[in-house]
Amino acid sequence: MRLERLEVSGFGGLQRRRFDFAERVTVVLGPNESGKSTLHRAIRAALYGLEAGSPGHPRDRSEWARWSPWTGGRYGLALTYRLDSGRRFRVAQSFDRGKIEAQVHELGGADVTQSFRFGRLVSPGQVHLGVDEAVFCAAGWVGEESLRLSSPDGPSIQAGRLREALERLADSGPEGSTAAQALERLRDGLRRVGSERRGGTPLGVATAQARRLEAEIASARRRLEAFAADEERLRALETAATSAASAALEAQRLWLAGRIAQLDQQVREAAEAGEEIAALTAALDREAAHAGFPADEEAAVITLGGELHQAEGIAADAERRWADAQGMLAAVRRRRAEVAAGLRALPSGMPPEVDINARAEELRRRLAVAAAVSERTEELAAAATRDRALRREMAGTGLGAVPGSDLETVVPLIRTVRFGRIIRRALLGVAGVACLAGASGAAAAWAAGRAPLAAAVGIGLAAALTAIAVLGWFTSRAPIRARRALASLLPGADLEGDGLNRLVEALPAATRIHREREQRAGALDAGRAELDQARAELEVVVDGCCALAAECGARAAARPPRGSSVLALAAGATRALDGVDDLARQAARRGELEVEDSRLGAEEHQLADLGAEAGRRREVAASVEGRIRSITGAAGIDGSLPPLAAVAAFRDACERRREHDRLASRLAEVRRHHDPGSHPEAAAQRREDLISELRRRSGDPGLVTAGPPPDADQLAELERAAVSAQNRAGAALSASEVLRARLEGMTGGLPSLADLEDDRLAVAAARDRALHQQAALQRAIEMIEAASREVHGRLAPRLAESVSTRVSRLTSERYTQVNVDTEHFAVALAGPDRDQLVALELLSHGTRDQVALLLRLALCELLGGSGESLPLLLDEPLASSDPSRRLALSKFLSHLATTNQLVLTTSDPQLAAALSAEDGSGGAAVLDLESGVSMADASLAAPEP
Amino acid sequence: MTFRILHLADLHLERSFAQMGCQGEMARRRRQGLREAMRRAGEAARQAGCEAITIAGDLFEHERSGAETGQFLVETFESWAPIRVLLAPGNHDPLVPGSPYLCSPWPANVHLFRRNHLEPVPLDDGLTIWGLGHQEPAWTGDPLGGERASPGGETGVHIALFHGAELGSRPADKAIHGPFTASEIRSRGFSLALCGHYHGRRIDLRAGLVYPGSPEPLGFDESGPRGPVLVEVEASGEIRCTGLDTNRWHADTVTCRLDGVSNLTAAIDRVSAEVLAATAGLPLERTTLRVDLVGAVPPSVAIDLFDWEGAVRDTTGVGAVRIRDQTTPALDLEALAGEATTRGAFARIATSALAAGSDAEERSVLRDALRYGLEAFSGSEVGLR
Repeated sequence: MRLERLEVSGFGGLQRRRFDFAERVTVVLGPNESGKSTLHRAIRAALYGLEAGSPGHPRDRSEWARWSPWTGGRYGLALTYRLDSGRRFRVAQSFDRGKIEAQVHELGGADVTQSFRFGRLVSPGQVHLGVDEAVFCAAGWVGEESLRLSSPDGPSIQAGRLREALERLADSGPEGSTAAQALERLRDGLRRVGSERRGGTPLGVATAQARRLEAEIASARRRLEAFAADEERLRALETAATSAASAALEAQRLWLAGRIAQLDQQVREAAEAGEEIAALTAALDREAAHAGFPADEEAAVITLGGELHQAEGIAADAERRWADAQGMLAAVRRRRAEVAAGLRALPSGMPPEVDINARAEELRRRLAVAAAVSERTEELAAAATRDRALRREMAGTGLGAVPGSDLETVVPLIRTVRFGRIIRRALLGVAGVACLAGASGAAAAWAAGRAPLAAAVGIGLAAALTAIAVLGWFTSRAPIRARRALASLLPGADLEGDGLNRLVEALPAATRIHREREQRAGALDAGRAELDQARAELEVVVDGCCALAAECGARAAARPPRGSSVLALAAGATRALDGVDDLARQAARRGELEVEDSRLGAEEHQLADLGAEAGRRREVAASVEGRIRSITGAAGIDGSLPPLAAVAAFRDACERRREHDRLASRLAEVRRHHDPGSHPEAAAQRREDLISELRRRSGDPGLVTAGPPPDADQLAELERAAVSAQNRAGAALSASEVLRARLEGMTGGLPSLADLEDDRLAVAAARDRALHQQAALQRAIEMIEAASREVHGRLAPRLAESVSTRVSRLTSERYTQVNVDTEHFAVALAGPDRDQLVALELLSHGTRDQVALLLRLALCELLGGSGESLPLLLDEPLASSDPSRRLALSKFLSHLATTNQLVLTTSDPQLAAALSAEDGSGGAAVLDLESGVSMADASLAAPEP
Repeated sequence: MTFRILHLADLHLERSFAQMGCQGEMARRRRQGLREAMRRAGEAARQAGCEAITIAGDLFEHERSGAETGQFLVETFESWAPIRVLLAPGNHDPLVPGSPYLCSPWPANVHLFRRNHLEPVPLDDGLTIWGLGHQEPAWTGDPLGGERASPGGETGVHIALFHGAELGSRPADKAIHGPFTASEIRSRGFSLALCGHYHGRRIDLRAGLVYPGSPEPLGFDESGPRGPVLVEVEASGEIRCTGLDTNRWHADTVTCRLDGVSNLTAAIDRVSAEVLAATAGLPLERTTLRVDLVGAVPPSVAIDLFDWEGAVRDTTGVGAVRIRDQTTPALDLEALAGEATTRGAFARIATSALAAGSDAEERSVLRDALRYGLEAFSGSEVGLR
């Protein structure tokens, strides 16, 4: 970048001034307070704008207030500059109160203000130089102190400061910190956070507290759970004590109620016993007459009474049966007389060893079979008639002479004969046509005078006829053989023309008839054989029937003669069998009558016994009655009573005697149990005592009489239960009191889980926060280290290269090589005369200063990245230098101006002259602020509308 | 005759207040404050002539409760006699083994709803309370569901008492336990539903829904007057509900802009001034405050939250202060990332890592790492956030 012109309408002490800058070196000459530094600041303000206050930065303490025109009026300026590419720009900044604005024009182009606006500021320097204002100040705005690296310090400190300055520039700009410093601050933060292992740090404390609180909470939970378990146990004990006490009380109430009921029962029983004795005495008096009745005879009398009752009943039954049997006996005797007459009328019967029925049955079955076969004789006759009719029908077809088995061979023979006839006719037709055609042809040729042709035709015709004849001979051989075969099969048959046709037509009918005859012939033969067999069987059956009838002695007709008809044989056999059946029926009837007579005889005997039995029973009953009369009479029972009534009267008297004895016994028992010496008053008092005891135990005496009184065992059991429950209640109560006392002692000392949880949560939050801080600091350190490695590693070689180029030129190639360390930008140089790299602090003062300036310039350009050369604003750079050093620096600056435009200020006219003279190219100028050019038109500095 | 019921819920006895910046003695005072709030509720019921007190769950926090909690409740309820106390356990105090509900010997005036479906308890002629208790910490059943769990067409006034989440008014981050909708209350035959779960008071007589809210603030978002609700039921069936303001503790959130502050002292002064302005008229020693720092802060102003909280507490006298740093660095990060310096490279690395951050925790770490790095580059001491 090359600055061309600055027009100031008002800026600090400068008013309405215009400054044209030389191409390489512009020396601004003026005394103190003449505005030299203001000029530099104005250039910065043109390139970067002017901060006019912000939140937290009041405007009256801002740079804007500091550089406002001293004498009032317009506040603004305009700078024209040219880029290394040749493009020219004019930036006008107006800082008037209430109207701070800026405008950038590319000369020959358009308004490009917006391209340079950063917030409220318009900063073309930031775009075209690539560095912000701070970096520009650090590198391009150089005072004497910046050029001279703290000369009072030692070389190593100077080099260190340079490295730090470079690092700061590279890491965060001139006002920031180096990466190393930033890392150190972060590590300091990490130390403040601490670690989980270091007890004195927040993180360590939080971790330790968290562990302690976790343990305390676990312990507290265990204690609370134990306490809760004890509470549960206490409740269980209290429940058990209450339950046992209730059980004891209930048992006591029951026992008291039982005792009261017992007392009541005893009183009731005493009263009842008195009443019973009186009643019993009166009843005894009433039964006194029966006191001596012979009750020991009662069993005998009852037995006799029973026997009498039974004997009378039996005798009555026997009389009734005898009365009924007398009519039946007469009927039986009449029937026996009829049976005897029947037996006498029947024959004596068949020999018992003959199994007549079985044999007769077998013969009857065989007879039925043979008769059934015989009935098929008519069917056989009809079949024979049908066969004869078929034979006649077969003869009508003309094929009757052909055996059935040969009918199949007749068919192909007839076909062969018919085929031969057709061939023969065809050959004859062909031969006729050939003869006709040949004859016609030969005749025509002959007529046309072509005799050879006629001869040839004739020869051809002869050959053709010969061939036809040969063919006819060959084809007629098979039909001839067939005809001969037919003639042998059908002698006399017409084998020509229609005859053959008729044979062909009759063939199906003949075949059908032949098949039917074959079928019928088999059935006819079988029927005839079966009929013959049946006849033989019938003869045998007739013999058997006649023999059986003879054996039984039956009267039967004579056997039919052998060879009789089937019907006659069957009738003879049937008659013999019928005679056998009659004989068998008579024998069966005799047997039946004999059985009936035997049964009637036994029945007659039984009925006759009933009369004897009735007499015996009457005698037994009379005997028993006599014995009863004897006993009852002795006991004083009325003898006029019927015997069974006397028995009843005896039993009634015995019952009265037993009632008397029972009353006497009961009276004795009641008298024995009733204590005539007991005192009802004492019992009543005892009862009252028990009732008050019951009431004391919340019992209800009104319910005492509700149930039966318990017995002594039950009362003892209740007493034992009450004592046991009381013991249990006492034990549980005692244990619960001990436990309650212990729990009450513990209650105040129980840990507060809520407090502990709260503390734990607070500590956990603090720990989490510390861990979060630790992680964030760690990540920040890692990221800065990575960023530092990246930036340093990228910048250091480029710095070395940039400085190498310049230093070689500026030192007339005394040093040609520069090395920059990537860690901390430590600089070392080497040259043709010095093989080894020489650290910066070992170089001469002048060289160090020059290298320092070059390094800053290079770094500034590298950070900018725009490739634009940075104009250097040097403020009194050589004010306090000795002459030799001033000369050296003048030469250095002159050389430097070849790459970077210089605008330097001085109050020394000689120095100004020297510097301008140093540049021999004509690119230098001196601006004398005292006699400088004043702007004729202040509006130059105002932004164009 | 008017029947009066005092309804409260969400007392959260034994709650931890660490999240509100209360530790040690302060946390114990806050828990004691909850017990005092309960006693004051009993006093309020007595003064208003209530015949019953209903508690719709979250009476205590089960995991931090113990025998002493049960003892306190038994003694307190006993002292309220003859006022009847109806307890409907919620998700923080469910009826699980070891619960003080199941281990404590309740006095005769206490009725505990032990089933997870509504069951009736007649309170007065024609007035019935139907209540249920959560049996587990994460019960999601429908409290108004089921045929047997509602009065249906029975005559009289029927009031439901349960801990549940009305879905139509659920705060965004509130868990759903016992979900229901306000329209179900009337359709199920109830005149009113006395509920618990939401910590903000809601009295909606049109829908028949009452949430009393927590009687003392339990979070920074629970600002304003708080307390139980007085329910008056006339013989005619008419119901009136009045919210009582009985809280003695206060909580609030203050947003403080730190734009333009250039140093630590100025920043803390500004925060303190904002806190004092927000707590004007409140008892400072019983006020817990959350301060959200917003705005762009230069990296040179290190925000060490722990130090800041202590400083603001000391300056203002507020009981507990919890500061959230939501500020952004007063830097143009984009421009910074365009720098060729190490700081620029760091900004690039950090922003790209932040963009690629896989989860919220990692992004939070990276955001803080960026802030720490920029603070370190700015030359100031790193403020631990």
